Order: sequence, then structure tokens, then C-alpha cells
Amino acid sequence: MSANKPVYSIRFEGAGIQAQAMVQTMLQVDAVHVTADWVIADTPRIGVEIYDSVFDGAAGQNVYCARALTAEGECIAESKLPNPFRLMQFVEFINNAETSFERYQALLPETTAVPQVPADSMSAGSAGMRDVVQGDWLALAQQLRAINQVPQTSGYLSVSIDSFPVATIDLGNNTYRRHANIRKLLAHTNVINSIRSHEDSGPQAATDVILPSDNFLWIAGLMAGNGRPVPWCPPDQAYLLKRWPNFSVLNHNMKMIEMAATMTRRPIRPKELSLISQTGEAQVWNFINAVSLLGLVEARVPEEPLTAQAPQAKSANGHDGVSTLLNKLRKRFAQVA
Amino acid sequence: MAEHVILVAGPMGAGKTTAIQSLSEVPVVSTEAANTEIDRVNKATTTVALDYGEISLDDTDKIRLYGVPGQRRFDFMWRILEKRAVGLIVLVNNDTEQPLEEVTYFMNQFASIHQRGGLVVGVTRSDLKAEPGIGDYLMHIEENGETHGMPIFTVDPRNRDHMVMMLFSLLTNIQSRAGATDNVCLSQG
Repeated sequence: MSANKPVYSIRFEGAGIQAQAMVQTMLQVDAVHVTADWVIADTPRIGVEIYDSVFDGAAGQNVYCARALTAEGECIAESKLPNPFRLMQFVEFINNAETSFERYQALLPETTAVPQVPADSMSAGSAGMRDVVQGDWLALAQQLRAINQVPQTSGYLSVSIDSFPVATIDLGNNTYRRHANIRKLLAHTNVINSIRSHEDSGPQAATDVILPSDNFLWIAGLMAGNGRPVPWCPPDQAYLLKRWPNFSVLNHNMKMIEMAATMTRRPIRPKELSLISQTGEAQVWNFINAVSLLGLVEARVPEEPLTAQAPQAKSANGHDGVSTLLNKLRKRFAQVA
Repeated sequence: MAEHVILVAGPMGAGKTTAIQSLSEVPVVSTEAANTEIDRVNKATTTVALDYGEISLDDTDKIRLYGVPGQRRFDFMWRILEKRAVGLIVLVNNDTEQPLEEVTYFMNQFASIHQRGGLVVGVTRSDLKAEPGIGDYLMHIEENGETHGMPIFTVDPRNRDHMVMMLFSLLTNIQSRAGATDNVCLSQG
């Protein structure tokens, strides 16, 4: 188990010994493909619960039902796993669960309110943008990106689901108001049904939290591609991070810090970044999509052709010490967290 | 016991002592004295020698955190500590007179650490004064001939998560610049 990865559990609810054994074996095989450490657990904790397989008429076969649960027991995703299941089906299932948890982490409420206002973040207004837009995270991200490219100064943009406002962005102050309803976004990943711009700040509740707008752009960016490149990030390009994301106001994990360090040094292709950082390509794309929405990346035509095969981890003199130190530090603070 | 030195530097009042207190697992040894420059920075005491804190990683490794005094008359101490340091956290208070110049000053003073990617900047007190923003810092750094890629964050030195994030970013950046993870090739399709 690696201390720098999040740890999620798999708990079986009535599923047989055979399914458990299969999962255990596949987890070992799949160790390099996942971004988290998955452990079999008997007690409820953040992770997935797999229920005994039943016949699914729609699928025409027996399926295991699985639910991704947060530490608070909130179900944030549901999926089905065929019985029997193949390795790649299991990998896809695990990756989907990890993506759900990543989204959940991105939407966790902040404890601090507006620590600072990044001067060069979103500044735009509502002029000419009063239409209600139906769409999903990608549509929202596209609209936010378009706003960012037009320097204006005032107005509000609200995002709603089923008529419930979940976030209101104050374009003039580079902040956004996160409503308690934002949790609905987790269950309705692709059905944001109203993105509306307006002149007034809209209804406010005592439970609302005010955060820098970069934080919302970050969430929208992480969600927009659903593990794939967004239309403005061509998959065949190399990406250079022009500056580090301001991680103190963004929900992040160690993998994102690693990717930032690598991407600031030189333009890098997503596949290469995936191998170097030992992160799934879906998570790499979510990161690239997010930093691109923040305006922090530059796409370039790769200079070198892709050549040999697979990662060849080697250690050079002089930085073994730092690598060891980093690993121990991860372990130290993972224990605290 | 292997010991790794991380320095915390920056102008007076940037929050260096507080940052070490946030990170250290032992009570910080501090050498505070009455501030004789109270007309310049409004705080009652200031560090005159060193702040010291530590993080034990395991039975064999320990991180020693040294906060170096912000006043430039103590810069002879910087040279001594620089030789032993793995990396440097520069904290600069955004409400000081010339925060941009403070950053480039410390970058130049600790050039050898900076050149190997061992420098990370934390902008403090930006809740009190939002300008300059991170983009302004980066522009100023680039105008002074530096390449991009140095981690800069707005932070609250009282916030342990912020300080841990800076420490991780610092070490990850050193590791990346050293090329430890940069020898991966891909097949075309």
C-alpha cells in the first residue's frame, strides 16, 4: 500500500466468497492502473459496497450492484458489474468509483471563506449573457471559458439543478457563493439544467459559503471532460503548465502536485504524464481540463516522436535522497490525515 | 539519523515563526526579542537568531525547520544555513511595502537553492491586501530574468494544511527538476 494514495474500501453485502476472491486477485493485478489503494473491509467507510448479484432484465444477465459511499454514508454513484466479470470490466468499475470520489473531494465544503482574491482570475460581466442555458458540466465549463475571454466587470452567473440554485458566481468580485444544494451536483453529473446570468446576486442563505471563483472553475474543469479531453484540449498535444495552480484555495491531492511539478518543467503529453505520475489517464485529463479552464496551460505540438515502451523508472544520483524524503513525508502526513 | 534542513525565510512580519509552529511537532524554539523596527513593521517582537522546529519522519529521518531572521543585517547567517538546506520556503506578506521585490531579493540571496527548484513562495496576508496577485509576482519574477515554474501560493501560515501543501510542492518540485521521474517513453499506439 502506498501512503500517498487515498485509501478506499470494498465491502461485500451478501456477495459470495468467489466474488470476493476475484476482486482481491484483480486488485493485485490492477495495482498500477488505479489512483487509490483499495482494501477489502468489513466495516463501512469511504468506498464501494457490492451487493449480491441478481438477474437484471435490462442487461439480460446477472449483475452485482455497487454503490460508492462517502465517509458520511452518502451514496454518490451507483453502477453494475456483470457476473461473472472480467478484469477490464472491474478496472472500469474501479476507475469510475475513483472518479466519483475525486468529484466528491472537489466539492467538499471549504472551512475558510474567501481567503484571498486572485487578481488575475475570472473577471467578466453579464452583458449579453442573459439566456438560460441548458447543459452539463461541459456546457458550463465552455460558458465559463467564454466569459473569461471577455474582460468585463460585473454580474452574476448561477447554476441550478431542478430549479435549486447550487452556485452563484459573482463575476465582479472573483468569488462564488456555494449553496448547500451543491451536493445535488454529485448525483446529477450531467444534468445541470440551468446556467443563467443575471444582474442581482439572487437569494442568499446563512449556510452559503463564499469562495474564490477559481475554486468553482477548478470544479467545473475537473468535471467537464469526465476523464476525457475537453474540446479545447486536443488529445495529441503536449501541455505546459505556465504556473502552479494556487492549491491553497483548490481541493487537491498529491498526484495533482506531482503533475503540476512535471508539467511546469516542460510540455508533456497526457499519456506520458500518466506514466510518470502513475496516474490513470482519466485523472490526468481531469487535471489538464481543470488547469486549462483556469487559463494556466499552453498546448504545444510535441517536439519528439513517441518511441519506446512503458515506464523505465530509474534513479539518478543526487535526488534519491529527496525522493526518499518525499515518500516518508507522504507517509507521515497520510497517517495524520 | 538523517537530517534534512528546510529553511523558512522572508521579510519581517511575513509569518515565518507561525509557519514553523504550524508544521513542527515539537514546541518551537524561538529567539524572539523586542522589535526595534516597529516603525517599519508593526509587531511587538521579532526573531533575532533562529526559530527551530522539527518533523520526525521515522526512526531514521527528521526534517529540521529553521526560520531565519528577516532583517537583512543577519544575512551572514543565511550563508551558513544555505549550505545545509534541502529547500527554502519564502514567505512574503502582501501588505508589506514592496512584496514583489522581497521575493526576487530572497531568490537572489538563495540562488543556489532556487536554481535546483528548491524554492517555493507563500504570499501571506493577501486577505488583508489582495494586490498584487500571484500573476503579478510571476510577471515580476519573469521580468527579472527568471523562468516560470516556481511554485507560488497564497497561504495562511496558521493553516497547517497550507504549510504541508507548500512542503510537498517544494520537495516534489526538487524531485521533478532533478529528473527522478522523467525517463518514461511511450510507444506510438
